[in-house]
Amino acid sequence: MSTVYDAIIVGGGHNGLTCAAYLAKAGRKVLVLEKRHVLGGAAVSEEIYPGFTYTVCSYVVSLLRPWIIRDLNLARHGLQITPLEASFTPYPDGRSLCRWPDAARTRQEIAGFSPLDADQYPEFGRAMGQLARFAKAIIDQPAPDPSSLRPKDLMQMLGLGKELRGLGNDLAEIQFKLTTMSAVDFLREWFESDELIAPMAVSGIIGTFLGVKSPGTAYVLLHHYMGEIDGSSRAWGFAKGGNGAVSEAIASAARSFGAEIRVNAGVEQIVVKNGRTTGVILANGDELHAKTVVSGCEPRLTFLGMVGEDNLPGDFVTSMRRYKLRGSSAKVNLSLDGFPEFSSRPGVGPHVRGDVAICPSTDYLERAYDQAKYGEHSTRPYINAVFPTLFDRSMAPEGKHVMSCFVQYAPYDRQGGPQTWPDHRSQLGDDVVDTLAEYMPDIKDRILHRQVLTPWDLEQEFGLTEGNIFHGELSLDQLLFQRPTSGWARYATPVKNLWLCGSGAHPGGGVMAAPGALAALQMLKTRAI
Amino acid sequence: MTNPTVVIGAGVEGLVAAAHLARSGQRVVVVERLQRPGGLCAGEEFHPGYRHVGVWHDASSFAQSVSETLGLERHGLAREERVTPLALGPERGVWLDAKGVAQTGHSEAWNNHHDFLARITPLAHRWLTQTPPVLSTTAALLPLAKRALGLRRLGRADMLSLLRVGPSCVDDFLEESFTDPLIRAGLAVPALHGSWMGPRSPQSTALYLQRHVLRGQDITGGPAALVHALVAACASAGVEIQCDATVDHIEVSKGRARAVVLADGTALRAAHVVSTIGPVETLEGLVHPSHRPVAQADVVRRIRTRGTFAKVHLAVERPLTFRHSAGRDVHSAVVAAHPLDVERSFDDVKYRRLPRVPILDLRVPSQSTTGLCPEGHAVISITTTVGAEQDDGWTADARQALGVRVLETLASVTDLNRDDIAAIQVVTPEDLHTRWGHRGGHPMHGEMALDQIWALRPAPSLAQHHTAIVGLYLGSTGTSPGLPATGLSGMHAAEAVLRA
Repeated sequence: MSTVYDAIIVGGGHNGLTCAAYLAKAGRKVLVLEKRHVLGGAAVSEEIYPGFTYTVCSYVVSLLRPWIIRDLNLARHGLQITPLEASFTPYPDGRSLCRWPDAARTRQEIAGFSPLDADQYPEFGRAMGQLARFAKAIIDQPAPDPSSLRPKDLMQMLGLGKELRGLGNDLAEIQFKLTTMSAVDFLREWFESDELIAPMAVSGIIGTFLGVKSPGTAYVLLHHYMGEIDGSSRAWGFAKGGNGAVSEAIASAARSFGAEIRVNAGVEQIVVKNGRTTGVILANGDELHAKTVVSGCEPRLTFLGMVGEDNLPGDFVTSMRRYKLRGSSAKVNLSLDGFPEFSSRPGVGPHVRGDVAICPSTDYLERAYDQAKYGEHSTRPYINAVFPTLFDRSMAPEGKHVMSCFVQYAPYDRQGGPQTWPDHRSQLGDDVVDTLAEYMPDIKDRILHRQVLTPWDLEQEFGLTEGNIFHGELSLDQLLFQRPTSGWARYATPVKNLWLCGSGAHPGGGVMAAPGALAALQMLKTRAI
Repeated sequence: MTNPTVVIGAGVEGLVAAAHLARSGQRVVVVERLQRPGGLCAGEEFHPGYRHVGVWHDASSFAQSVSETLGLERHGLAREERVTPLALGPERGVWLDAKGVAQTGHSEAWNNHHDFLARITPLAHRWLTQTPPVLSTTAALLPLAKRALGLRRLGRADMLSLLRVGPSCVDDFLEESFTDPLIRAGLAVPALHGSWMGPRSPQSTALYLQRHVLRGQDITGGPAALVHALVAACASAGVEIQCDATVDHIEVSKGRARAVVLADGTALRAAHVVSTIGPVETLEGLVHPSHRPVAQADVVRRIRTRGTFAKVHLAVERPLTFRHSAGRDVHSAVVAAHPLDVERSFDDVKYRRLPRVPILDLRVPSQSTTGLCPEGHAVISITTTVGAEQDDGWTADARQALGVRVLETLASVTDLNRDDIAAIQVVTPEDLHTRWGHRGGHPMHGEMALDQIWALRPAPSLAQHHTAIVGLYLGSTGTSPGLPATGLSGMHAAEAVLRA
């Protein structure tokens, strides 16, 4: 009989690797299986066009938990994060707004649109900063379970209740509004200028199939204030080498603890006998044995695709079928023969050493959403762009640049069905470039190569079911104790010895590595391994 | 003699508050700006010989408990349930049978859906028909713990289902049970009234559940008959109703409401003041800025009141024949073929333009109530979704265009002929504001949304019906539970006065 592993991790994304690292660090014999030829899942850097490295899917680091960076000593394994210097929003009328880490400078910029808002902005930041601390208490521990009457769970609920009470009335009220209101309505309670509200509101809709005016989107605004790099609240950052470097650092840590990692090893099936898993069968037919299997893949794919309905309780199958994925975004990566200038603020100044958001008004964003609601991609989408080459010169040849564009909305289930996406891929690319050209007139002449990843491509290539970058909609009904479904939010599953460690588990998507780490810690704590 | 309690506004909530206070032994004066009591629920002759039964035409949410407390049956109130379609589209209709079950051959799905609703209704009904608990970080924990325990008593499965579907969008929730888009549209449309949401908006399920829980049998004769019974109950309890009496302001001194001062200068000294006009209209409109508590001013400013409600009344010189009715009477119906059509209509609200294809929630009051129009004629009462805010404003053209578009939709499900229409009255959100005094043209004095319902309606610090001004109480639909004509807001405000 072949080797029996303590744990086989399905999927070598950043969460699977994190889980492997924690388990290996605790002395367990761990094997990671990755379908693609490269590690990282959606946190991956690849040279798609000779000489140009794309941070293919995800492209910034914000919520990567500092305690994980410390636990795994990721700095020693090559992780280097540079904070983004600005958030830049150009408008079609030639004006622009840049928000800086420097409060006084930001205030001056905002005052150009509304002096009232300029006064409110720091106050808003303070309130959000205080609330972000409460939110961190939630994402750094397994999800509370309000339906459980076990003393331990009641204590956890009480603890959170106490934290909430500790916020005081005003902040608690804001917290409640944050979880229920739309991003735009919420921001309008603070600000008057639509030019400021639009770029702030977008952080509420990234990766979701909701509009900035949909109730419940305000909550994600907090994430912007939860971003930390090495423990200091410094918003977002860019990893040297792209997000593939984050995965590489975690993989290197995992290996240093003794984990075994294989690429080109796609898992076809998770073997279940008598309600417990015994291992996996690979695409090439090999069967591997393990005491536990941990899936970093999206839950529906894990259960309905790899475990099989016959091995699961009926109501669990129903909840997996109901699990909402509904990918809404696409990625466009560009190789550029020089830096494209913004007509509203020319030059390669500090304003472009951050993220650039194309979101000139709340109506613009809402229109983009409405098109998607009826099955079309936004002809004028929300675009969040970063120029990785401004942070890491090695990602393109001298004088050339790479531009990484997150594009929303591109609904997975487009008119005609998702399989028709390849016929619309180049149209989506054209619409994105046309949109950019309205702000950077010379961009079209500078494009050397264009990679367009539609939600269909994200599913086919990266295993992101329905192209959802977060492994499941981050909506209130699929968060906390309901992620991925109520009763199974603590990484264990109805199949004995099968665990979840991906973004479809609490606390959800983004390159934060928390699901992977929390899953491993929970497995170790409950002596499941 | 002691000063009376003054109730501002003689709408359904105001009349309920007044009747209850008077029956409890207080002297009560109601002041109403319009010529007749009833507010949006008053019936009115909108064309010579033709009456509607209320701009708000649905009194089915009027609480049975309020009706019993006030003895309204003695004053002529009766309830009834009628067989009527759920929804009509251009191609077909979905009918409900006498038990309210949709006739589509999907009775199992219908039953499962309604079984779930039936299981959560007793608890939700109890919550929604009581004064909401205080939600604040310094609040007493016991009432909250009790409610948490009640939730847990639903059983784990139902509790988790409720927590899962509550924040979801109503179309997703309905789609779990119904593949038929017509059923989904028919169920969703009435639940969205008063919200700034479409069927694809998250949290709209919460509003669907709330409406379902509070809904009862229709009132015979509609809201107008309800107003009639309430006025009679007030009269027999000795309430004095002063119509044509506009309130200028509420006199406040030393943090206490002392009098209600009318536009003509009359000051009505008051032991208590119960305002059943909206919370914003009251606290911003009737209280001098220097008397507004600073903290509460900010709260009031943030109450959202974007109206999405307009009304069209038709006087028709013959009975309309509805297609797909197979000869049965149509008393009410939603006219929308698909939830996405409803969503498109909400898109138009967002972009501040008239609905391209209005969706209708209609009643045919003349079908069941005699005397509303000449024999053999008909009155059609139509609610439609349209934003208060219009880029081009509420011009005469806009008003006319809205009427024309509503007629077009109506023509798609009836044999309507323009020549048969004796009159058409369009009530816009602007009319709600100017004629009825509803801020933002909102029929419920505050949007229905998760952060503005129950213990958060209109805001946490105002949800128990008293304000930071001693002796001033809020009792409009701007407070919990929020649906028009439940009588509960007025009743709870009156109870708050009686506790004082």
